[in-house]
Amino acid sequence: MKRLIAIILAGFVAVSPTLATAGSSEASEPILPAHEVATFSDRVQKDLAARGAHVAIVARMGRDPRTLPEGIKYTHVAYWVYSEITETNGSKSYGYRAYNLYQLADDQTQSHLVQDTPADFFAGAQRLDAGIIIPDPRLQAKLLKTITSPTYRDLHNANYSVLANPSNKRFQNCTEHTLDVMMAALYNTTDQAQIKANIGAHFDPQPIKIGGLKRAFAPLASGALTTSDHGATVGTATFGAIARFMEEYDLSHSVYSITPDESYRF
Amino acid sequence: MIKATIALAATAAAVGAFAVTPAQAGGSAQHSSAASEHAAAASAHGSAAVASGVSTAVAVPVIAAGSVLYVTGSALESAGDSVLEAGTDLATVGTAPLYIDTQTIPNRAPALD
Repeated sequence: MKRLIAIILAGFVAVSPTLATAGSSEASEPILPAHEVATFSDRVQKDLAARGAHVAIVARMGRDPRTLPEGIKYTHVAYWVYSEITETNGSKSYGYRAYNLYQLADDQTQSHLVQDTPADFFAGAQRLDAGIIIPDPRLQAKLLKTITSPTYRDLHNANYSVLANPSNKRFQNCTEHTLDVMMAALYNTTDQAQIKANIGAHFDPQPIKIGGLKRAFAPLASGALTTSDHGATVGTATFGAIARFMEEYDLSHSVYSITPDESYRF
Repeated sequence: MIKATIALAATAAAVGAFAVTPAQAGGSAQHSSAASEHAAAASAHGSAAVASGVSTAVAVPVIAAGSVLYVTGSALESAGDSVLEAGTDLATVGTAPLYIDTQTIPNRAPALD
């Protein structure tokens, strides 16, 4: 009996910290000081505009990277699209809008698509360090076409998993949706089976080191931590994995990180 | 036996209490920490919106390629309650039934023209 109790406790203890990864949570209020978030958001917008990016993939650090599994630095990813913005009072401005997949606040196993501002995007950041991929201009044009088409919505799967397997359609997180949209754009297809087949053939997910005990108990802690869509090993789409994929196939113009003080190579 | 049952019940209770944290943390851990951070932010910055929210009516992607891009006007520092729910279209979720496809033959590796 003592052994059984020890195993149960060990299982739950093992589950908690490192599996708490992605989290595509929508922040209603900034975690960091508001003026810092606003200033940083503007810095990123201006940086992208100066580089002529109509579409970029931007990632935020939603958790202290020291608490994340090996190989994961950023926890939320979205397309940023340069847009003409018309306010309710009729005034026009130009800037970026983030196209997000966020978990529902009241059900972390479900997600929805939300468009928000750069500052809203970084309101969920624990640290002001953004990962940025500027796609090749030819891919940007393809992405714009897809993002503004019904395909963008059709590729959304509301069943959310932090560690979703990008090679099948069972669960999805923000990064996988980003990847699905990219594949749809690259291959000019709306066929989800074909998109998944191509991901399985050409995309290398980020391996996640997770023990059997932790894997078994994780879904008890949160349904969003399920790995039932994986086989013996667990691998998921991350900002880094997408960056490597795009660099391998010459799909990116530049990949870098930016902080309030500097830009540096990712 | 009774002792064992009590011990198991106590363990289950402890585990249940323990499980609450990651359950709201997890994919959610960010959520949990965010919530506590929100409280801190609220005390430090009042209502703490990044800026007084200016509701965005419409954001239309600019298609013209190669043009010089500027970030202007209210696009700067607009945040807070300006979150767009992306309309009913984007908020509509896909709930297609799951199947594992092992038959589809992948295309060649991606390449831009």
